[in-house]
Amino acid sequence: MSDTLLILIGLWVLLAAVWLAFYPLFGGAAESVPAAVAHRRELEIEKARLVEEIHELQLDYATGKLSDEDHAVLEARLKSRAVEVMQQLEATAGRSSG
Amino acid sequence: MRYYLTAYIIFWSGLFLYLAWLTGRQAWLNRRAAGLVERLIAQGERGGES
Amino acid sequence: MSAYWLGPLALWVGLGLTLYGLVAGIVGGRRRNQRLIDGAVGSVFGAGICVVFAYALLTAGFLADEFRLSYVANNASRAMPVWYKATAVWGGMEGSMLLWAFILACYSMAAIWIHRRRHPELIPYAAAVLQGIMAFFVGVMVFSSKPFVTLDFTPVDGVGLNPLLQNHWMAAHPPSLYLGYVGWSVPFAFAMAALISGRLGTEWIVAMRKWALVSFLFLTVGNLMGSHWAYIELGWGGFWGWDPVENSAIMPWFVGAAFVHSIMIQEKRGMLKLWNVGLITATFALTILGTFVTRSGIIESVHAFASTNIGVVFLSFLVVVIGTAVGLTWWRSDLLQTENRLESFASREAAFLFNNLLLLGIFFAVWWGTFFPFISEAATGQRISVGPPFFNQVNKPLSIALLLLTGIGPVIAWRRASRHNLQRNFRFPVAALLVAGVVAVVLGIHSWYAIAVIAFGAFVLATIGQEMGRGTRARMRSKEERAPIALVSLIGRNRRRYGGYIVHIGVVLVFAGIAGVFFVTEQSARLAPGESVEVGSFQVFYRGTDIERGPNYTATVANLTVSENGGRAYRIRPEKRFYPEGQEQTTTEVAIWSRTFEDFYAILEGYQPATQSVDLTIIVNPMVMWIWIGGGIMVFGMVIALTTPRPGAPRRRVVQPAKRKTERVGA
Repeated sequence: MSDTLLILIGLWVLLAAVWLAFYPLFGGAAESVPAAVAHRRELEIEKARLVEEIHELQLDYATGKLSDEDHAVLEARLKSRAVEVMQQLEATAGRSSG
Repeated sequence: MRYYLTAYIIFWSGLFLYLAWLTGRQAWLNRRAAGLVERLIAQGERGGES
Repeated sequence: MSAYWLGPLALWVGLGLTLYGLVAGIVGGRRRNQRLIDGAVGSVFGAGICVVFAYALLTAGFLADEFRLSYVANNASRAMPVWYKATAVWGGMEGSMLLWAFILACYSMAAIWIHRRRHPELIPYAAAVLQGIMAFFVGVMVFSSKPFVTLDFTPVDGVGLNPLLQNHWMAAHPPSLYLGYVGWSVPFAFAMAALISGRLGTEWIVAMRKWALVSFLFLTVGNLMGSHWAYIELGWGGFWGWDPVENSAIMPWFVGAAFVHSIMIQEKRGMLKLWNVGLITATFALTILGTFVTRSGIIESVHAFASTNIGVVFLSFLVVVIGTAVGLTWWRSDLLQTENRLESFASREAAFLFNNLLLLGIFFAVWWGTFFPFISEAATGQRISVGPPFFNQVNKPLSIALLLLTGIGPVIAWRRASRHNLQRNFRFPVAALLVAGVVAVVLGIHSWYAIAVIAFGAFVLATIGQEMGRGTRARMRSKEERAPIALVSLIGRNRRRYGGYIVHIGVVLVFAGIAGVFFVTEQSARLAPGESVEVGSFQVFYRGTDIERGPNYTATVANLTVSENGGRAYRIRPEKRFYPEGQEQTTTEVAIWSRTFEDFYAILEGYQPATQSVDLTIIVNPMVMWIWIGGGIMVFGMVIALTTPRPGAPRRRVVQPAKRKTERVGA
């Protein structure tokens, strides 16, 4: 009896596995992520990365691993890029809410 | 590029030479050990004859 | 039970789904067809479920003593404890393939689930590559090493597991090593996805760096467990024998270590892009090679208990992997141009480059020593074997240079180190180096390697101490925190960096443990009951022998007492075990009195029943404990680095508590 049960469960599991792989092909809503949303997500990831990088930069500077000159150049570059990203983020936010 | 190349060339050529020398020495040691064993066997045989 | 035909069926279905996922991922990605992409993602879960099911079924077979399954009959027996029955699943070739696939299934499902929304451009290709790897392993199980072959009759009992493997370290070692091996599939898949999609910036690095670190962590644990097992179970007194199988476990570790370091240079400076793709390909290829070497039996060694003609299959897969990676790299070579150039040898970038070269150099030396016997045999017909002395000798200068760079790398300046930077960051560590070196010489240490380890180790520890001190002080100033709080929050806020430093502390301790090899005392003795022997500062007294019965063996146990300089006496009991069933094998169970700075290690070599005398080998191994302590610290540091919040995550954390607060107010 337990054998039959096991076989039934096993077949159901395998059927579920096949279904998982193929149902998207026949699913109705096969919409890809809208480009605007994808773009926004990318910007957010970049923003987070820039914040992390600026933090690291300050730590490197504080522990004496960057010359004053390098620190100034890199900081300016990172910050201007961060400002750019934030502005773009604000622009997309404005568009999606409007 | 110049820096990379110098670093790579010096490092790998040094390592290759070192490895070649070590394995060569190992091969020589193996041969010597084999020769020693042969000599001992030969000696044993001669000893058995006398 | 007769439900085991479900096993092959699950593998067949799994194979179909992986191949479908491989095609759907690539086609869907290229054509931007979301249905196909979703199908590829779904197939990862579908195939994963099939493999997990097959694995569970085989485990059930072992637990139920189902000896009709030929694999179970060959690797287990009724008398084995339940725990070893569950672990005997990976005692042979077929089960190891299934374990590989099982772990890959878990990794793939986790990685695809976590990244499916964050990296939509990479996911279809990453899923395709992961499915391609899975297709290989499932294919091996479908066509060649079939885990579910049934016999025409049901044997009364099984052959049993090789007694050498009936040890809890050995039970845990393969899963950990495989978690390390298999994990590299994820970063490799993301690297290939980056190549196919042409998005070769830092995105793929950010996506997979934690997966690389997880794999590196498990590989470290696996190697530590393996060497611990060798130390306590093989009974020759050492922890690393440069056995080909050990070597194939450590080779991906070195290349993976190089990768974990060099991706930082790509993240920070946009350099070494091509190099990183090469490193991850090499690491992944080495995990396949390692699995192949362990499982093919081409190399005679204690581990190579498997011997099937699977070699050609594995080598073909390796050729496909490397060929694909090289082809894709060639195709995308214009996108792999460096963004910055190396400006000086005295710079962080150069220190990391040399670190990479040394790690690769060590890897290459190990590879050379492992495969040279085959190369020489193929080329000249004469097998020139190189033994442990070769490996020890070649790795001495390389490892020492690496230890030195472990100190230099983290504190040297980016781009170009000024005289001011060098003075400011190296004055104290160099002083520590000189003091430690002089102390080592004065203490009468003769081995240059040991002296160098002490001096350079002090140098590394000094740089780390200085880094932590400076970071803490900067924090105390800016946040007005007290020193201990500042230190803890410094580490907490920069887990990747300081986790890395903690790993380096562990590395120094492991080096110290290894250097202990130069101070080993070894002595053999034949003792009759009541006799004693002195080894170094230890007195060993032999009282007699017991014959004991275990669950599936009989043991001859020598009762010894050991004391140091007439101090308190400890009982230790080295054994020889005989496993009558199946393999009729004898194992040596050493007795170890482990102490902080010295291990007392006793091996029972032989026993004369007539006189009741025993032949013993006694080894005093200094510093061995520090290998395990250092290894533990390395693992701890990696865990800290791994707990770094994902970029973007803190923002959500700030939002959530605020929301909760308003809810509470509302309620």
